[in-house]
Order: sequence, then structure tokens, then C-alpha cells
Amino acid sequence: MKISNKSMAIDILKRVEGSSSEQIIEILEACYKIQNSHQYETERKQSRTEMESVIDEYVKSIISIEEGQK
Amino acid sequence: MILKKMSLINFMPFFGKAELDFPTPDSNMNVLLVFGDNMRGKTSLLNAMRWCFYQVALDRNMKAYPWNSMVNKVASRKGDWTLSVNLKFETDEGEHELIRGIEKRSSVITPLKDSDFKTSLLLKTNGKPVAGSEIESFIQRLVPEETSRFFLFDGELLQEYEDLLQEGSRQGEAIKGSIEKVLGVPALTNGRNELQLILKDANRILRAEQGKRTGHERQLEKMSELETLTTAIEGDIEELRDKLASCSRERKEIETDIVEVDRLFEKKVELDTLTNRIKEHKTTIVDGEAERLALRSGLWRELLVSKVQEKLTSLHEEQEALRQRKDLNTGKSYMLSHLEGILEKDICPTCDQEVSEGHKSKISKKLDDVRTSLSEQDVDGATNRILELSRMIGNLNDFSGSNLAQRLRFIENTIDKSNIKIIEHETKKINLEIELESTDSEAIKRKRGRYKILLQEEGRLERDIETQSENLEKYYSEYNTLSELMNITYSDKTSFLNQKINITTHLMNVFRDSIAVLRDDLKLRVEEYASEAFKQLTTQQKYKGLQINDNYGLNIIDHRDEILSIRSAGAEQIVALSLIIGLSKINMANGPVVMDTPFGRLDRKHRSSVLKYFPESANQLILLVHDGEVNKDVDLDPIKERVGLALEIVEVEPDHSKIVRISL
Repeated sequence: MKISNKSMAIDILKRVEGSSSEQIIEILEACYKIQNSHQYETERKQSRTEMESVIDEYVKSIISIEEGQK
Repeated sequence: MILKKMSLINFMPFFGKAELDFPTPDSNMNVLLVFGDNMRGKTSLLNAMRWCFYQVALDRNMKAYPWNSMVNKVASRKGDWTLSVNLKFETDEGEHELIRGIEKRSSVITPLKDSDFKTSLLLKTNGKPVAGSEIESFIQRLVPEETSRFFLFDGELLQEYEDLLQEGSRQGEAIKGSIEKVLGVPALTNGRNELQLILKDANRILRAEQGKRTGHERQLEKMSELETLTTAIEGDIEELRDKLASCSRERKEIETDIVEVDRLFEKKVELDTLTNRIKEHKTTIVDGEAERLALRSGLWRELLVSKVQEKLTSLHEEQEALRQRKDLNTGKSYMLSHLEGILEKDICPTCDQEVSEGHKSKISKKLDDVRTSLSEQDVDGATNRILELSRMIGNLNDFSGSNLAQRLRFIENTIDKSNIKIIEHETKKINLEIELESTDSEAIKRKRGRYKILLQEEGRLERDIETQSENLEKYYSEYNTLSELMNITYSDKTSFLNQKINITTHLMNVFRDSIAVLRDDLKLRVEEYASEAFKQLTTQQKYKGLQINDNYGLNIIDHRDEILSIRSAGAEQIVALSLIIGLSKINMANGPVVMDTPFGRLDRKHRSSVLKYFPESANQLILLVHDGEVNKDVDLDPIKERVGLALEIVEVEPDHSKIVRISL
């Protein structure tokens, strides 16, 4: 029994985002999955750390691409 | 998830080991029927599952049972204070075995509180033990406790769902929260809130960098003010939530006490009734004694009753003989006047012909015989004797008709019964008085007063939280605008912080906007599935379906496309069941549903519709029912071929039930 409405929520995130950036969609999906797997109130700090690390990784990759292009 | 087997040890009414297998959903027979009279242990089976997953068993007021009350009484009287539930189930990840138990600490003689027990929890996946720290999060991921009401389902609590139709109802809000948890909304709201915090941290660091530059001191100062403000509000909200939780806890505890007070009030009424009954019985005895005394003075007559009866019989016989004789004489007198008439007129009254001489002679002879027999009878004497006999019989009847002995026996029985009843009532009264003596009526008054205060306090706290949350939202919006402005001002493509703030702001906005969209989409889907289920379940074919409101409450739409304003208890139950099915179809289509006493308010036709439809709505359906709601002989036709296993909980002795297999 998987009590979540994961695919529906992810579809909505994609729809609202409306971006063509595959990476942004991947990040949205990753963020949602992190939240979905940490539903306890006591897990908030852990989920925040995980989300922040996904964002940091993404930013680092953008910067390295941009630096590479220079 | 597919349930395979559950084993209980000393769990509530189940002494020693009790086991039940679950029918597998791969066959068409996915229904497990468990029959049991009230108080045998149906709800305990539901609680066993709840205990195994969440280490809690709840009573009908949703209050947790103290652990010492959960250990089977027969076992605990023998000094065995262990209890455990073992649940085997299957998921996409493989086979699992979850065992949760408690055992009295060796230093404790009689456990009085939960801490007098030590707990154990074990999970094996595909035969391998899972690390203790991961077990609770595995359970939370698989079957979150907040959503358990939708698959561990107590039919007695179905009326809760009516609160969803009432704006501002606290219970309705709680259920709405649970529904949104099932539907996955909190993952989005938590995501938005945490992205906001990430953004705030990133901004703080960036501002420290920007502080080294000049020209934007005012904006930076404002951002700093907003940060302090939002942090303070977040702290306030946290504090308010803690206060609210503590208020709710205290209120729920008092609520249970108030239920107890109501019970005691009923006992007080019972006590007054008993006092009145005792008084009535005492009056009956006094009246009975007086009548008995009066009747005893005439009791000597009873000694003559048999003799009087004999005399009466002989008098009746004599009277009857005289009456028969009198009737005979009357007939003869008639014949005499008839024959005399023939001789006088010489005409036969039958053929109207003249009577021949021969016949005349015969008639004269007959007349002589009749006259002779009549002259031998003393007709007047017989009449007088009959009258005399009637008088005698009347007197004797008066004498013997009093039934004194019978009446006395009745009075004595009544007095004896009243005496027994008085003893019974007095004993009950003493017990009730002892129970009521220990009740402090002042304390009850205080509790009722405190309950009202807590209710008001909860309302106030909820409003404060709402206001503070709105303020927080407003300040964050202001803060985010400034943040974006500053980032544009200090646009530096290679700046890590700027990039991070940009992407986090974007993600946060997407999460924020998605919440409303998800809620609307989900409501439409719940409405659609629940309507579909409702049309199958209701026996009123004119209803068009259900319409959802903002709280996920469902209104019935009638044939004129109008909301049905008055709904019967049965209709409420059907609507609630439709909502459960609607939610299941969205999220729990592959899960089991355990239903305890789900048919309480339904008539036979609705019961039949529900029984027919429900096995389709879950991969495993476990129905815990009593004979009063489902009659084995009459009601099971729609479901019979879907029943994989039928069990009955039977009482072995008080506090000891067992599960036996039955055939349908």
C-alpha cells in the first residue's frame, strides 16, 4: 500500500513550472520525493538538508558548465 | 501491501496464542469475514494491527489504552505480563515480518503504568533483520499513522465524516488534515516551507557578503529586520502549536473523564430508580400482610370446601333431573290439548278431513294414558323443588367461591418475591452508593468548567496560529521581493549564492502554486470516484451523485440537481463509505482495508449493495461484524463467493476469547 499521490503531484509540479529545462524538472521531482519519504515532523531538518544538497549540486553543475564555456 | 498472517499473544481478550490467516488477493476470494458478538474481541483485532504498526491501541474516544489494561486478564492473573503481535505481510520489496511486544520489567511486581514495561520491535525483510532505527520510518513510509483511519476503519466512528460538511468544525479540520495526508498535499506544503528556510539562510549569507559593499544599506537593513521578524513569528507559531497540542491533550483527557461522569450520572438515576422500587416492594409487602391477616379469619371455610363441592354436585344432579322431567310434562300437556281439540272438532288438523270413529277411539285411548301419566306427577311440587335447589346451590357457591387458599398462596408468593427483590436492589444500591461516594461532584463541576475553557482556548490558539501564519506569508513575500531586487542589483553569474537564491526562489514558487492546483485536482478526483461508488451503493436511483466541498465533505445531489438538505443516518453512512472508497481508489487501490462494524446503520438493501461492491474496492477486505448487522443465513449471498475465509470469535470464559474457523 503506497499511500501517496506521488505521480499526480509530480505532474502538477511539472505543469506549474512549465519550463523546458529538464534539470529543473529533475530537481523538482527530487525535492518532492525527499519530502514524500520524510513525513514525520522530526524529519524536517533531514529533509531540508537533503533538498539543499540537491540544489547545491545543481548550482555547482551550472557554474562549472558556465566556467567551462568561458 | 498484502497481509499474510497475524499472531497474537495475550492481546486483550485473546489468552495465550491466537492466529488468523488472511485470504490472498490473487484469487477472487479476497474477503476475510470475522464474526463476533459484542465484547468478544472484534475491535481488539483491529487494535492488534494498529498496535503492531504504531504501538498504540485506541478506545472509542480515540484515547490510548494503558498497556497494563491491554495484557490479557487471565494471563496477568497468572503473573504473565507479556503481550505481542506478529504481522506477516508482503510488499514490492519482499516478505516482511513485524513483531511488536511488551514485557513487564523484572523490577516491577504489578505494572501500573506504561513505563513499567519494556518494549521490543523487530522487522525482518526477506528473512533478514532490519536495523532498529529504520523500522519506524519503514512503517511510516508504508502505512503512515495519520492516514490509518482510512484502512483500519472503525464503522462506529463513521459519523465523524458528517463534520466535514460543517465549516469550522474542529473534527472536520482534523479529518481534512488526514485526507490531505493520504493525498500527498503535505509533501508540497512541507517542501514550500523548507525551501523558504533554505532561501532565508542563503540570503543571510549573501547579505553578509553584500554588507561589505555600499549603497544598499537601507534594503539590507530592511531584509535584516524581516529576517528577525519572520524568525520571531516562526518561534511564536511553534510555541502556539505546542500550546494547542497540550490544550488538545488535556481536553481529550477531560473528555474521557466527562464520559465517565455521564456514566456515573446514569448510575445515580439507576440508584434513584432502585430506591423507588424498594419503596414499592415494601408497600406491596405491607398491603399483602394486611390482606393475608384478613383472609386468615375465614380460612376455616377451606376445610369444608370438598364436602360443599360434593353437596353441590348432588344438588346440581337433582336439579337437572327435575328439569328434564318438567320438560317432559310440558310436552305431554301440549299433546293433551292437541288431542282434546281433535275430538272436539272432529276434524284432523293435518289433512283437514273428518276423523273416523276408529281413530276417535284410538285418540280417546291415548288421551286417557296421557291424563293418567300427568296426574301421577306433582308438577307444582317439582317447580318448587327446582327453585329451592337453585337457592341452595347459590348459597353453597357463595361459600366455596371465595378461593381463599389460592388468594393466600398468591399473596405469600408476592411477599416472598418482593422480599427477594428488596435484597437484590439493596445489594445493588450499596454497590452503587460505594461507587458514587468516591465521586467528587465538585471535581466534576471543575472539570466541566475546565473543559469549556480549554475548548475556547483551542479556538483562540487556532485563530492566533492562522493570523501569525498569514503575517509570516506576508513578510516572506516582502522579503522575497527585496531578495530578488538585491540579486538583480548584484547580478553575478558565477556567484554561487545568487544562483542558489534564484533557483530556490523559483522552486519555492512552483511548490507554492502547485499546492492549490493539487488540492483542486484531488477534490475533483475524489468527487468523481466517490460519486461512482455512491451510485453503486445507494438504493435511491434518483440521486445524481455527490458534490465535494472545500473540506472534502460530500453533499448528495438529488434528481433536481439540488443539494439534499436532510439525510438519514443510513445515507450519512453510505456517503462516508463512498468517500473512503473514493480515497482508496486514488491512493490505496493495492492495499488491504480492515473494517470494524461497518454496517451498523444500514438497512438490508444497502447492506447488500455494500457487501457486493466492497470486495472490488480493496485487494483484501477484512470485515469484523456481529450477527446483528450481518445475518449469516440471509445477508451473505452477494459476497459468499468472494469469502476466502470465515472465522468466529467465541468466548471460552470471561476475559478469554478464541478464534475458530466456521463454514458459511
